[in-house]
Amino acid sequence: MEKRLSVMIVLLMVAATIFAGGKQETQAPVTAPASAPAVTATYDSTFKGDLAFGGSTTVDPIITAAIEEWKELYPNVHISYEGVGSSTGIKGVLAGTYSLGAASRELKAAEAASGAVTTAVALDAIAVVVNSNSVSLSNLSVEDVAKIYAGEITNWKELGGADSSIVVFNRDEASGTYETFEKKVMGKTEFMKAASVTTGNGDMAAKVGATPNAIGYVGLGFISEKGLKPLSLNGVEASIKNVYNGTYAVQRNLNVVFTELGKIEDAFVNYILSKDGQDIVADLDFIPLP
Amino acid sequence: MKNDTPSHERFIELMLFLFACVSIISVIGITFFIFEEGLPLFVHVNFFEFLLSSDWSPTADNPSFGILAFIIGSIFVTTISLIIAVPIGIATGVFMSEYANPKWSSIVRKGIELLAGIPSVIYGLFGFFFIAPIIRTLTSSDTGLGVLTASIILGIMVLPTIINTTEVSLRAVPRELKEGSLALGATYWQTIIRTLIPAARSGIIAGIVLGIGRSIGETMAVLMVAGNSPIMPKGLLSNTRTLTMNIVTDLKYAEVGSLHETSLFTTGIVLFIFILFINLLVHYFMKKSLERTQGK
Amino acid sequence: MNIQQSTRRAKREEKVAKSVVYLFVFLTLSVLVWIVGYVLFKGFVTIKDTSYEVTPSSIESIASEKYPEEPYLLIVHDKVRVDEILYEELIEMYTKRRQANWGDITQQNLKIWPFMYAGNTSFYDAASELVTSEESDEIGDHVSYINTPEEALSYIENVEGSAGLVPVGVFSEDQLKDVKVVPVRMVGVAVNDGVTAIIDNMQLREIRSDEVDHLFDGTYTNWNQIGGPDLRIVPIVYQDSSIYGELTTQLGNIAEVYTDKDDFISTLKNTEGAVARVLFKDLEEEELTSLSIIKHEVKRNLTIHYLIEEPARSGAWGGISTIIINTLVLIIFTLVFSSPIGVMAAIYLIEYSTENRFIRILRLGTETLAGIPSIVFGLFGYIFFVELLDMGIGFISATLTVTLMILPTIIRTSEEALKSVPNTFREGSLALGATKLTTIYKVVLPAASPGILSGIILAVGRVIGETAVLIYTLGSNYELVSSPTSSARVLSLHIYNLFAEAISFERAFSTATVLIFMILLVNYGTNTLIGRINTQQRS
Repeated sequence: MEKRLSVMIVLLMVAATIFAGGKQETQAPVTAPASAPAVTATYDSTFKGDLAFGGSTTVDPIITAAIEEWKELYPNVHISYEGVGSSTGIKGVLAGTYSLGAASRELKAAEAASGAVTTAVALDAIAVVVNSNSVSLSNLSVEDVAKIYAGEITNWKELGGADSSIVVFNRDEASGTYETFEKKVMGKTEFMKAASVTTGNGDMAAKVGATPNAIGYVGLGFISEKGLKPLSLNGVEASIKNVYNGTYAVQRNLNVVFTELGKIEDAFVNYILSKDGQDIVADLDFIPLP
Repeated sequence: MKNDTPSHERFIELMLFLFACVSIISVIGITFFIFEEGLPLFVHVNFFEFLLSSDWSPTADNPSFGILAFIIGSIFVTTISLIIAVPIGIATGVFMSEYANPKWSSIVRKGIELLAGIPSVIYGLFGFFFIAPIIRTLTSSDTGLGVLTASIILGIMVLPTIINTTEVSLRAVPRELKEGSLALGATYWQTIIRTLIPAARSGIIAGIVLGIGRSIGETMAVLMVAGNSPIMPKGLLSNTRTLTMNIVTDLKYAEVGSLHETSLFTTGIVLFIFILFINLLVHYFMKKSLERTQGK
Repeated sequence: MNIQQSTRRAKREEKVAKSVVYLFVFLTLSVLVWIVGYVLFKGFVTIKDTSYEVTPSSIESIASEKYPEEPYLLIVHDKVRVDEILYEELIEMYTKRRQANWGDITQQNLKIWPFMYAGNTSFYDAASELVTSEESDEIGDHVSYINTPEEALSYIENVEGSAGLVPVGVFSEDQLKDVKVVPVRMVGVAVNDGVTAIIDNMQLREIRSDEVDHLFDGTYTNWNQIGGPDLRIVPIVYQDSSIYGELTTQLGNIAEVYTDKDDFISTLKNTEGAVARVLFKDLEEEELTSLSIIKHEVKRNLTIHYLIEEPARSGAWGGISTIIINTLVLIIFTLVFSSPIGVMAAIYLIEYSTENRFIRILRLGTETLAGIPSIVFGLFGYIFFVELLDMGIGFISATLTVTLMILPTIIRTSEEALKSVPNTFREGSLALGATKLTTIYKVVLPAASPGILSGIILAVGRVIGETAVLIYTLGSNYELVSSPTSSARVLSLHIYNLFAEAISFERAFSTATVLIFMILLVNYGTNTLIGRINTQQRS
């Protein structure tokens, strides 16, 4: 028995080295042309070390993708990103747990007073989405959306849709998405409590996509998920163009948060702000800075 | 005798003793820290308001922390899950100990082991993608998520616990009791229902209480299927949020060090007290069951 | 009489009761089969509707409208798992400023290295016309230029992730045998603006792929039949000798045929209810309104690649290799901590202690620990290990927390195993002059080892499936765990993240399938060991 166990452990270690070694295998082909991305301007071969970033789950895809791309320029720098939520991320930055944080909301007064600083790295629009298989509507006024979320409109029939009750999905109230939606759509109106609460953009997308007659709201990056149909608000489509020209109002900044930028963190933030980084932002269906 | 023991053996005995204390120390540590983190809430929030209000808006300008809805949610979901699991569980336990031949008993046992081993996230996936659409089609429920779906999933999850304890306690019933009953002309079923199950009662109840504990403490599976609205559940098809769901949902977003975060640990205290109480019950019934079978 | 009646009733009761019992057993087993079957099925097979800008029909030999006499084939490196490609993906591959990645197409984390066969100027012009569009008109810096067929072949064979357009006819069929020729989907469905107008908050945006043909063959005559406005469907067709011609053969017979392009486009734009199949490129260049096409797809889900590739992009690309290893590492380390503690605690409780109040309290502690829900362990781990001891969210915090959680399982099964060792063993050894410790080490432990081991394996099962305790102690980083404090992700967490962030449900199910196989393995291990104990006891 012991023998078998030790054999297993050895196999495991071998497997580990193989998998770990696999990373280096993806070498660039010989014929690759020397493209010069904007970021090489700040290239510094002395960069190395382990860095821990953390924060918003909404910004997670951007930071994760940027880290994975950036790693190719700086193989000696190892960065991990922890999607722990905006607030925890900011707190982590202030406590020094994370050398860079990310937040899908603006700083609160107390956080700014403790020395946190933000830089916007992308824009995000919050799109109102419905279940595409069952909801025929494609446009709603902002007031109607607010009324749905206040519980005043409860049937699609009242808005010109089929005679079926509206299934409302909301976000957990401490999330940045919730805050933005509350500010930009609800105004003074209060949310009804009976709506199902989802725990993330993805969770929301999943549940609205799978539930007939459902309505919800997600970051623009999630509207292409299965079963979702984004609604136009007041006749304005949730699109990059309309965010830039200001006609689509339900939008926000996605920020990185820090107290003081280290050399490597500075280069990383510059990378996200560079053309390459903004291309990544666009690839992920977020909105690059104008 | 003791004096003959070499000193290094004495040392090792001491080590063993210390290791034996790890679990009780952990229990004390867990209790201490959860209370230490959660109790300060009551400096700012009225104790009774916390337990008896169902208004949960921890980040509002005028925050209110009422977890009654979650307590009720936990109890509701657990109760329904037991209504589903207890008859099936006891029946299967009876089958395993009284009806099954060795071959079938081994097949069913392996099945139950697998059922017990399936991780809760997989139950959650199954509930969301398989049970919820069925509930949606069969009932007036809009989402298919809510008390009923959560209860069905929990019911399946606690089945193995109930089946195992039922089987074990039935097997522990002395043979003479069964033979006596049969000799007196009772049918097999009458023997089971009038003699064996009463004799094994404490053990079976202990199993059920154990199931309650598992049901109340389950987090991931219910999180995925219960709808998660912070409201008082109004019926079987209503959305609900349980104590565990409240902790896991809000901890991600609660500002560290805020009252909101503290309130989640306080929620943890309530859950913890529930569990301690249930553990004591299990302990009590187990002891009773042991006395019964050994006493005879 | 009465007696007879009551016996009959008892018999009937017996029958009913028995069938109810059997029914419930059947229910239990079928629930199990459902769950496992459902997860495995979804784990291995994907069935879903996907929305595309182009119809499902694809062709291998593609040409631009401007250079109809220069058709091309798209050849791709053998390792790339692509069966067909969308025209927009082809354009993106060549014109994106930042190098594209196969991940967006095949979920492989592999850079695309496109090349262009530029044997002579006319080849180059035709090919670049094919891969650029009005909006993306510049070929990227990462595209290589190749001048001979041999060079092209060797590039495709040697550069991982390479793809390129080669002229039809340059290679013999034999040469193409070893490379992958990938067909392109390049036909879109354009409609008159009125068809997609928002009327009463409703809008027709997409149609099913099998409905497309029905727009042209007269099965549908009005747009309101498929959820559009009340407008007659007017199918039109542009026909010429080029690629359009190739794509119009299947267009049905009731459509109006145009041979002049401008005429065709202006009819499409100005006739209410008009619909036509057009080249994807025309949608953009002529600013046409289009309908998305929903294709019903059945695909294989879990593959060997998923097991051996590293995850990327939050799990949307690549596989789960590092996550599997993280899971195994977490298991090994929790066992390294928990099994000695657990087994030694059990030894003390069984071999050294005498039943007294204190020992009863120790036992109660173990029982209580066993009953504590994992989310409470998570809370404790979070405040104690992560915050108070400042270990951070990471591997060491998670290992210690999970160790506490599985301790009761190991203690209890070890206790049972030790109890089952007959006292004669101990007495015999002690009589031979061995000390108590030697007796335990040399006699009792070996005899109890299968039982102890099966308890440890049982604990492994618990570690594999745990999620709630890990969310706030282990983190979510899916790279290979590299240091005690590094945050990590295990399989169960990965499933939850894939689900909760809606990254991919297919991937959630294929990961779940892997997890179920691990659980089966654990159960098999336990059963084998228990079988061994039974035969041991019998002999």
